[in-house]
This record gives sequence, C-alpha cells and structure tokens, in this order.
Amino acid sequence: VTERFEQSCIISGIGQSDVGRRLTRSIMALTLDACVGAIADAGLQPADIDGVISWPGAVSRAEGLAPSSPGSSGPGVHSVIDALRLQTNWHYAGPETPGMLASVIQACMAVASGMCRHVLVYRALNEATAWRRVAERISADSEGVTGAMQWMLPFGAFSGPNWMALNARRHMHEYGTTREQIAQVSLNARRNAALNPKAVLRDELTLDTYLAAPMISDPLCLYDCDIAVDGATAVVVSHVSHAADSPNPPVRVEAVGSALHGRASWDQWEDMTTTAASSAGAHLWSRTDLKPSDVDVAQLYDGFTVLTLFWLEGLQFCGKGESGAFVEGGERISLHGELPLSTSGGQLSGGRLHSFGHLYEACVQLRGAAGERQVPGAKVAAVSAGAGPLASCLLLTSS
Amino acid sequence: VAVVELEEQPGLRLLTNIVGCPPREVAIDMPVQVEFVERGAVFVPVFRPTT
Repeated sequence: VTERFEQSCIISGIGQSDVGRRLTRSIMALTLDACVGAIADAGLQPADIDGVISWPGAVSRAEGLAPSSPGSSGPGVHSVIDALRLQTNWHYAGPETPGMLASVIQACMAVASGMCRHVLVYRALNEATAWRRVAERISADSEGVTGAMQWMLPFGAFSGPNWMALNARRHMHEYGTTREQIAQVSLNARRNAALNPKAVLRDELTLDTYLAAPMISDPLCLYDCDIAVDGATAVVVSHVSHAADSPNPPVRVEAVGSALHGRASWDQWEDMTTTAASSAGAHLWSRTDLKPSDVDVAQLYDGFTVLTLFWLEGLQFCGKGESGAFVEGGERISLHGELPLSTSGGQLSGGRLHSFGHLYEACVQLRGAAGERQVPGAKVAAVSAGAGPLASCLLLTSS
Repeated sequence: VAVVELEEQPGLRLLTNIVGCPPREVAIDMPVQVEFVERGAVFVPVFRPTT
C-alpha cells in the first residue's frame, strides 16, 4: 500500500464535556468545554487552530438522508469560530457526507493537502434536554416534509429504529440471528459502562431484563436503542510533524473508510442484511496493510445493537451473516475477549454522543489511559459511525 | 412498517404498512396486494396479504 493522505495526520488532542441526561448548561457551553479541552490537550492555543469541521452543523430540517431532530445538531462552526475567535483557513459543516466520522476524514484531507495544520473537529448534542421541551420530532414548513422523510413518515416510520428494525428482521430471517445473540451487544455495553464514570446507564442489565423489555420497533426493544444525552466531544487533527510537540501520546490515523457503494437511500439499499458499513469497511481495509485480526479494540457504532452487527461484518471481523454467532455468549467481545467492543459502554449505555464517544474512547484506549477498563497493550483501534446509507470508519494506532 | 418489493418490477421497494393482518402474523416473503388509503390530502399505498 502506497502512502495515503490520512497517514500524514494524527489526533493530537481530545476533549469532552460533562455527559448527562439533563445537564443544566447550554449546548454552546458544553461544546466550548470540549473544544477548549481538546486544544489544550494537544498542547495548542486557540490561535494555533486554522480549521474547524463539524457534523452536521447547525441544521434544523432533514432534506437529505441524515435525520434531523431537536437537539441533534449543536452549534454550527460559525458560532464556534466566533466564540473562540479562531482564524481559519478552512471550515465546514454539513450532513450530506458519509456519516459523522466524515468530519474527521475531511479534517485529514485539509491537513494532508496543506490547507490547515491543526483542525478542530467536534460533535455536540443535547437531545436529552431538547426532547423534554418539544412535541414534534420532525420539522415541516409550508412545503411539508421533504427529503427521504417524505417516503417514510406517511407510514409511521419516523426514525432509525423503524428503518433498521427491518434490516434486523431480514438478518434474522436469512442467517438465523437470534434476539439472544443481538442482546449481547447491549449486555456487553452495560458491563463496560459500569467501569466508566461518565456513562449514564451503569446498573446491571441481565438477559432476562433485556428479553422482557418493551418493543420499540420489533425486533428492536428498549435495550437495543441508545440513550439520548447532553454532551459534546472534540478532537484536534494535526499534521504528523506536530507529534514531537504534542504533550499527550498522539494517535495516528492509519486508514479511513467512507465508500458508499449502493443506493443512497434508507429503504432502497439493495441487501437488507447489510448497510453502507460493508462498502466503507472494505474501503478502509484497502488503504492499509493491517488486517482485522490486528485490531485490539473496536468502538463500533451502536445507535442500535443491530448496527454493531452490521459493522462487525462490514469491517470483516467475521464473515457475512456470522455476526450473531460472533457475539454469542458475549465472551469474545468482552474486555478480556478476542475483540473488546464498545469499551466505554458505547451509546447504548454511555450515551448517544453519535460516534464521537466511540472516537474519544478509542483515543483514550490507545493512550493507555482508560483506567479500570483499559485493554492492556491496545495499539490498534477501529472506530465506526453510521447506519443505513451513512457510513464512515477509522483505523487508529498508537504511535 | 414493512418493505414490499413489487413483483411487477423486481428491485423496486416501498416502505409501507401491511393492513388487514395482525402484526404478529406478518412474515417475510408473504404475498401482498396494493390498496390505497386516504391520509389527509393524499392517498398512500399500503398492502394487504393475498388469500
């Protein structure tokens, strides 16, 4: 493999606000906590930052494939640039990208192209607070509901669990995947969350409790769905030449994956037992000499449990259709297993930080700073984001 | 909700609702037929199992 643009980049700093169910601070305050934290963690000053990228930016309606709902956007990049008085060469935010980690990939492009030296990347949500105050999840104006929503909302399919439950059911039908197998993703997340003081759900979760929980969108039950929180996460993507000046262990970007090879649609995606994770995952492995077996920790997207199964197959940790058997019993994906998964508790138990919680945890693990939940000697981490036609992933390594 | 593929045009799928059948009895590969129901100002396609 020849040199790839991402290999001239490092994650030099990480920052995260408080994470909680109903924090009393504004989303801007939380965002600035994360951003200022990441900049300081990288050994930089705000004046050193010359790029800012976020996902999805300050959007209030879903025109494209990315759902938009109250509390899911956070402040846009103009607000953050102004609040921190940044001087940028490039800034961007938008939802029409290969999912949330596209923001990190684009930051790498900006750095590798020479446009920027230190790019601040953030993701902020306050869905826990926002959903308490609003009655309507979907915004409509005089033109009614537009974008992908217009084809789904009339049938009562208004959000991710409705759409991805169909794929889950198809996977069960084709491959014999069981609810007991899928449950292991949730039980594993809860076990790991008990070791993460910032996780919001830390009480023990048993298989019996899981199976007895109310259905949200059959076959996805309450514990198959992640939990809304308030919180913001930021990273600084820097040129690799900053590594020596970085006060904390830099995290190398080994490979990125973002390929969308299929219909750009939630409901027209050809193979319902997969998502865009399959093409993004294959793309990632085409950009590195490392192999799935080299990965020490996997922080895979878990907005719903079944999405983790799609990512396990998409990133080729197991064969197509084999993810149910792969997670069965939970041992293999536990902290002491062959592929420790979602070591922070993920979004299912840690809180819905929309893949940036996974990104933060991957960096913490690669720095060896995860305390009680540290995977000993973790040197290679996979991180992924997205569902349906939205998919992006990163392979990160310790220096 | 369900995804229905049209016999007349394989590969064309509709995200839709199945009517006239308890949700528990809806199964993958069940043959269904379209009908239209009025919802507000529009008619939307839903599907009923063929007997």
